[in-house]
Amino acid sequence: MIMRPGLRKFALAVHLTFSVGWIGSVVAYLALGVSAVTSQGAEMVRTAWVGMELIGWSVIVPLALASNLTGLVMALGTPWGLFRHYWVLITFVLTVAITVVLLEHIPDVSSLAEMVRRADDADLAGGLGGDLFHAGGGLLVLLVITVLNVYKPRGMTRYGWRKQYEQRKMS
Amino acid sequence: MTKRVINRKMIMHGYGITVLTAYLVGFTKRFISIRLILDELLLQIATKMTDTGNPNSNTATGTGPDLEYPGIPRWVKVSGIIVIVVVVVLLVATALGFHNPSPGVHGP
Repeated sequence: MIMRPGLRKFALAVHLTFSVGWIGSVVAYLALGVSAVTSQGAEMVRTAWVGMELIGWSVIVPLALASNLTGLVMALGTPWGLFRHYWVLITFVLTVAITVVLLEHIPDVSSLAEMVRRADDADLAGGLGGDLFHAGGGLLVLLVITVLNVYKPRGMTRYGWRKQYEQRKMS
Repeated sequence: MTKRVINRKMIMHGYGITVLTAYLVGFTKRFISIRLILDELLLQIATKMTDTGNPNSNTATGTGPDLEYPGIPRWVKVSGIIVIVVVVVLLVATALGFHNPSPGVHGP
């Protein structure tokens, strides 16, 4: 079902808000990760990991799920479709993939944060891994998705090509 | 004297009209022939354009280029190769122990 222009704009605004918020929260997570790696003070490392857990569960995960949902609504509610154009399909696959990785990974962050809470200052004094790989990789994929959505490179799938032909034939 | 002059003038006038008419007829003929040549050229160009230029020219008949899928775009192929390489590198790194899915296991 194709949305009316007013509803479509509203849905786009909601989707952009969630998506941009998701990127911003990953950047904040990355900043905390960098301080967990670079800081020598135990208190700072502990704070960084607790903050990462908090941001992960209460900001990144809800925004990721909301962005997935609103993206799906945008694709199915507009003439772009979900499987008609390669850029939409790739965006969808990448978004689902990083959401799955996020949901798999975030419990590990929680267990590490719990471990850090209980650890002695001496154990944390040398710094701790900051989960930079996952945050950096996730951010990279999100930026690729953003570029795809802004440039919308040409290219229809076989399914989209067939649908377009059928529509032309009917009109 | 006067009659001679008048006669000469009339002859010259008649000659002038004849020349002018001949010139106009020749010009018209040339113009028409040029128009015909141009029309033929334009027709040829138009025929060529409908034969090869516009991929949607045969939409109404339901035959021709519209049925042919142009294939997967190059940017999709290149992106696919990059993604496959990255995934393989990650799998190899994980298998060799360079990348651990759980962060900070070397911690406390």
